[in-house]
Formats: sequence, C-alpha cells, structure tokens
Amino acid sequence: MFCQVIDHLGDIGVCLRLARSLQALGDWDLHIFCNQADKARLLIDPQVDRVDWHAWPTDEAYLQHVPEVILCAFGCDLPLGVRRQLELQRKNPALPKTLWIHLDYLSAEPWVEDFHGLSSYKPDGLIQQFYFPGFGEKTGGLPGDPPSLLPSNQAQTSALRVFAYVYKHAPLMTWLHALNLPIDLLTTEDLANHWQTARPTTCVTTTSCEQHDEVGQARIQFKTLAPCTQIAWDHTMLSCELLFVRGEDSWVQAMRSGIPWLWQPYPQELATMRAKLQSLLNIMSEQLRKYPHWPLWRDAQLAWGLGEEPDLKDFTNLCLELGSWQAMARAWAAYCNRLPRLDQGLCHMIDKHRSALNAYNVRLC
Amino acid sequence: MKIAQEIRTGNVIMMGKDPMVVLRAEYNKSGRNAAVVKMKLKNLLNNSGTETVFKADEKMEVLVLEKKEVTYSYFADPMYVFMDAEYNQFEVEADSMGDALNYLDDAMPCEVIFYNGRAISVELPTGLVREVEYTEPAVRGDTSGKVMKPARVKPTGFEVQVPAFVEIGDKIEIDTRTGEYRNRVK
Repeated sequence: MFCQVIDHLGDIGVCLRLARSLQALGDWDLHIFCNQADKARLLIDPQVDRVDWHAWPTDEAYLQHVPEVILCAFGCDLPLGVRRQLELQRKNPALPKTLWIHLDYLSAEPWVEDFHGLSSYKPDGLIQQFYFPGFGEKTGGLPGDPPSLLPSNQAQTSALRVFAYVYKHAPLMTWLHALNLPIDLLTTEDLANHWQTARPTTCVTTTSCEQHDEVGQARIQFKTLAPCTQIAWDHTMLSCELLFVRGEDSWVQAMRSGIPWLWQPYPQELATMRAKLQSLLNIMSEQLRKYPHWPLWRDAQLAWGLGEEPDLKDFTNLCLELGSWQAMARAWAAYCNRLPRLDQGLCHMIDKHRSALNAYNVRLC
Repeated sequence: MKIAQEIRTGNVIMMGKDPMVVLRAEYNKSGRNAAVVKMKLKNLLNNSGTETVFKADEKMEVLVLEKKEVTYSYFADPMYVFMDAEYNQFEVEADSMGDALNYLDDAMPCEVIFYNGRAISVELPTGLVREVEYTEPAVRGDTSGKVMKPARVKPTGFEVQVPAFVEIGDKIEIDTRTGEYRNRVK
C-alpha cells in the first residue's frame, strides 16, 4: 500500500485498519509505504498490527520484489521508480502482472456505482483498476470494521461525554454551549488549545489538561487526547455519548458504532460538500424516516456539515432526546454493518486477478 | 497534451497505439478536491467500445483532427447527416454522437470531426440555449437558486437540473460539456 499523509493521520488510519482486516482475512505479506512513516507508526499497536512500515521510496529507488498487488490509497501517485518497474514488468510476458489498484475516497453519491471497478488505461500501456468504496451493493463496500465490543460508558460523571475530532473552523463551541449541560469534551490537544485561545477573555483556565470554560450556558471540561495508537483512539471515541467526527476513518467508525454522531466532510466547494452530504442523508432517510427525531438529526447534520447557521433549539432537543438519537444511530450502524465490506471486496478483486493470471499461465504452458 | 478533465465529447485521445474517440466524458469530485473522469470511448481502428476512468489531472495525448463547420440536416437511421456551406453532406453514426443527441436541433450549427477522411463525431458549442418544455412549478419562498429541480428542454426532452425559479417557457443556457444549467436567458 502506498499512502501520503495530507493533513493528519486519517488517510493512514484507513490504510492501517484495512491492513489489519486484510490480514484477518488471509495470509498477507503487507507493506505500507508512507511519506510520514515515523508519524504513522504512532498509530500502531505492536501486539495487534503485523505490518511493515516503510518510508516513501525516492524516485530512483526500486522495490526489492515487485508485489502481486499495489494499492495506491486515495489516488496517490506511485513513486517513479516503482512505476518504471511496472512498465518493465508489462513489457516482459514471462513476468506475472501486478494488480495495480487506485483506492478512492468513500462517498455516498450515486455515481460511485458507475465508476467502481473500471480500468484506467495509461499512455504507457499500464492498466490501473479504480476502486470506489461506497454504500451501494455495486460499490467497493464500506471501509472500517464493526467495533467488536463498545467500551462501557464511563459514567462516574453526569456530564455528557462528547468526542470532537473536527476541522478547526467548526463552530463546536456555539453548538455545545447551546445545550446548557455539563460536558466532558474529549479532543486533541491542538483543538483544545484552539478553542481555548479563541474564547472570550472572561474565561477561567485551571490546569493545562483539565480546563473549565465558564462562558455560555454549558460547562465544558476539556480532556485532551495525547497521541496514541489507533486502537486506543477508537476506545476513547467509543466511550463517548456524542461524536463530532471528520474525514473518513473516524466517520466510518462512528457510523459503525451506534453512537450518535455528526460528520464534517473535508472542506471543498460548497456545492460539492452539499452533494456528498445530501447523498448520504438520502440513504440514511430510507433507513431512519420512521423515527420521529430523524428530521432533527438530518437538519443538524446538514447544517454542521456545511457550516451553515444551525437551529440550535432543534439540536438541543435532539441531544435532550439522546435515547431516541441512540436508537437511530444503532439502526444506522446495524445497516452499515450489514453492507458489503471494503476488505472483502478487495480480496474478491484480488482473487479474480489471481484466477486470470493462473489461466494465462496455463495457456502459456 | 491535455488533462483528463479538459477532454470533451468528440475529442480523440491516444490509448497506447489506438486512437479513441470520446463519446461521453463524465466528471465527478471524489474527496479532498480530487476528481475523476469516466469516459466512454470508441476505437477508431476497429470500432470496439470501452469505458474507462482517469484521475482528472492525468495527462493524455489529444489528436488534433480536421474539423468542419456544419449544420445538422436530418436523421437517416442509423446515420445523422450534417451539411456544410457548400452543401456537402457528412454522415456520423448514431453510436458516435454521444451527448450531442441531448441537444440536437434542426439546422443546429456544430463541427464535424474527421479521422482519415471519415466523419467520426460532432463537437457542439460549449453553451447552448434551450427552451424549457416542462418543469414543476416553484415552491413559494425559495429564490436563492440553491434548490434545484428537473426540467425537460426542447426539442429532445433532455432533462437538466435547474434552480427552482425557472418556469415552463423560460430559455436557459446549458453547458454542453457537463449537461448543467448555466443561467436563464432573457
């Protein structure tokens, strides 16, 4: 797998999770090449993750062995040397051909079904298979894996446990203050610092890791998350009662968990984000329209995802009916966990490639 | 060289040693500002068809082919017939018309593209004005242009997403590269 870290570790998180589940499905010799391998290694739990991590190869470098499968996560380009190796391999009929996969981002949009599985013919004669994860039966399946067991809610406190891993421009404080509830906010250090720096000067700061923000109606206690393994990250996230997530990896795990969540897509043109959100909400509506509080979740998700003015009264009502929101989140999680899976879909594609190769070799003999 | 997102219906790209005419190009945004383009192609040497996909920023060689300004004349199944200013007629197979069929109108000006002396496809102007034949009435109150609804346009019945304020009989400009509404024409 080749993966380039763009802003944080979400992309590499998807790769690590995929590697873990592929290894559970078969006997793989898996290597991940990452442009920030040292940072990415922080996510690894050596007890669980049996993956070899490598620095991004230079353009002059060749791999010791051309692998059977190359997966370019999120459409990253191959290093030039590796690309040259594939070209040389193509020109030699005696060599087995590598299955070269472009793995794209998850999207709920309907066009994904039409694009998934198509071949991309390169000017140099190489062929790349495009793989689109998604929610439909004809897509490449949903990434992530169902959480095996949710950690018990740490209910020593009556405060609402909120997890936030969002882009900095998200107006989280406005939304949380509207709740008028005591809140334990679990978030990364840089986000906690950002919100605490941005708040009005009348606030009181107590300690560096547990700070009380007295502004607004909610009493928010920040609890910062130190850099940790992906498994520890999941554990923390899933111990919360309300999840504000972003990107892909945390979003998928939130959807699969059955815990109420709101998702912030990667910032793009407003029309693009609207199309992605609306497609997701259309699918969710089919599953959740029987729930009386579904319109509140739907509208909150749309406003949160697009950064639009929220109806905070409706959002407050939704949070006050947390049991109802949990029921919807569980129903959606059950639906997601029944969908085809990315790891299984990839294995199927690879099996087909192997069968074709075997047939080719038999013909050669 | 062009990048994939610049490729239009009627362009001819080289795929290995094969010239391929683009019958349809569909562009979509994936994630993190990345985009992909799906193309329906026809091999000009053996007429075989294929569907393929590219990253929007992938470079590809585009053949510069002879073009001639023509107007659409008539349909003689399975050929669409075009005529130039000297009354020469050129036939293009229905299968090679691609998205142009969505906009075809009597005497419509366009360009026929030739490969080895054979008319292989047509290229339309990037913007065309069409009259709305049918669309649902607008819901009162929303004039933002954000809420879209389907509209059927004359004369082909092609369906375009238009803002809620567009009404039957309005003339709208359509981007023929994307099939999207551009603006209402007074």
